[in-house]
Amino acid sequence: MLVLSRKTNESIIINGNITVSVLRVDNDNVRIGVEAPLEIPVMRKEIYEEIKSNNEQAAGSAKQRVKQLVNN
Amino acid sequence: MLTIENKSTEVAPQAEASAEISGLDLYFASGLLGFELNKDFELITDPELAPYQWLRGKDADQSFLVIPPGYVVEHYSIELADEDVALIGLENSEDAVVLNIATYHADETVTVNLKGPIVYNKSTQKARQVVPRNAAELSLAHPMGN
Repeated sequence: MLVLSRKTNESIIINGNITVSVLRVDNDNVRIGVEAPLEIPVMRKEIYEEIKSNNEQAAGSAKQRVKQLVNN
Repeated sequence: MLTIENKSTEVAPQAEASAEISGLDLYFASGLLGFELNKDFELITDPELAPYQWLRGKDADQSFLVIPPGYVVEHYSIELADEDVALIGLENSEDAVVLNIATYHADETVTVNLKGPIVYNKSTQKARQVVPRNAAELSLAHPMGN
């Protein structure tokens, strides 16, 4: 993992189009600002993992099977 | 920020309107969470599946069972971030359609993800799976009653 030190109001830039800025630091709480193109979703990792895992469970390919279940 | 509200009474007549199978192409510029590379889907409305619909992946053999929230909970309100509104080109909340992904479990129960809904724009057919601003108060696995 790349590790960089930044102070309040300093940023890093990723891929020339994503800017991550440190807005405020209070003890162990860091406020971060992210500017990214619209098509790049930005969210807290815990919530991403939660929804991703739910999507993986939900993903299927057997519409006929679902139809049978729904009509049971 | 745009708030979209769904009430159960608002969706009921819509689903009964068509007796034939129909499809609507939807483009997910960011894919679904965990399925970022799958961008093209077809939303299939099949009367035999009602009130569920089938979101068929066109890039890969990955499809999802979805349901309008009005069939799941009495009142559902999500607050969309400006980025989500802009990505799907939403100019007013009337163009927005909300769907929730349903999971069929091995024990034949169904749960619905209210926390990460799909929102699409009827006019642009652009869609995104969003994390609403009020996600913390929404359930990831809401049980469907029988």
